[in-house]
Amino acid sequence: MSEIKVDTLTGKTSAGDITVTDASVTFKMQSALNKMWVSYDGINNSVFDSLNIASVTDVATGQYRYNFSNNFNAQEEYSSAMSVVLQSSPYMGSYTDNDDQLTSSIQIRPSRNTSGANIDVTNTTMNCCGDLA
Amino acid sequence: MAGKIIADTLEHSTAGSIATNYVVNGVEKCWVNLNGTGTIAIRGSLNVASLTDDGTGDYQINYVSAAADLNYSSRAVSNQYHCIITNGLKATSSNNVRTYNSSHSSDDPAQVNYGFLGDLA
Repeated sequence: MSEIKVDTLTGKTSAGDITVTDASVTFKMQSALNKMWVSYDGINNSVFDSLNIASVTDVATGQYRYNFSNNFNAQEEYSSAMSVVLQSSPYMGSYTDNDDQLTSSIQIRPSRNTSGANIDVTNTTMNCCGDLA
Repeated sequence: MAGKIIADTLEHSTAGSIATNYVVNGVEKCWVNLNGTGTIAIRGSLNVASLTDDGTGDYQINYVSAAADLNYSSRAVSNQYHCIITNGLKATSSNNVRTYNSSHSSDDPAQVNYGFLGDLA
């Protein structure tokens, strides 16, 4: 077994470009790493755990803004994923707010009731990958 | 390639260590942020060759490097509407996402995010 002890990985030819091999394919590791993830309690407005989250703004009922510690490099050019834990159904699907995926934050509405009203949830998770600024 | 390191573990001085299989297997093998309105277009992406507009609120994401099999984990979210991974259309070389407005009708959102985790071929 081999082990590398290091605090920083930096590409030699290009600082932001380290490739990883999976099967016969090599791909850019930095872009593929999740740069932000969070598990959030929307009822008590508290973060269970997170990476690269400076704070969470409780915008309104069922509407939260995740503020990043380190910004993404370009607005809307990173990719997000979200899920929600609910104690009961029915509910309508999750979505991010239109025009609110910024370099420094992203605003979400994890769930709505069948009338379309936003509702607070016990746990919603999100992760984002892409390039940081 | 400028250099190549073969290792089983990476260790940070304070943040702990991680087996490199988590690095290889745990990073996203594909992600895309696409504009779903008008002529659909990629804003940012990794391992996406092209998009196919299959109709209103109906998008096919075509990969540069295919997945090893159909067991990969995919996800999708849009910025306005409900988003689903379409049943039965998952392939190693592509996947299909559909979006629906609050009336449960197919509709084109300004933004769709898609990605997957798993093994490449």
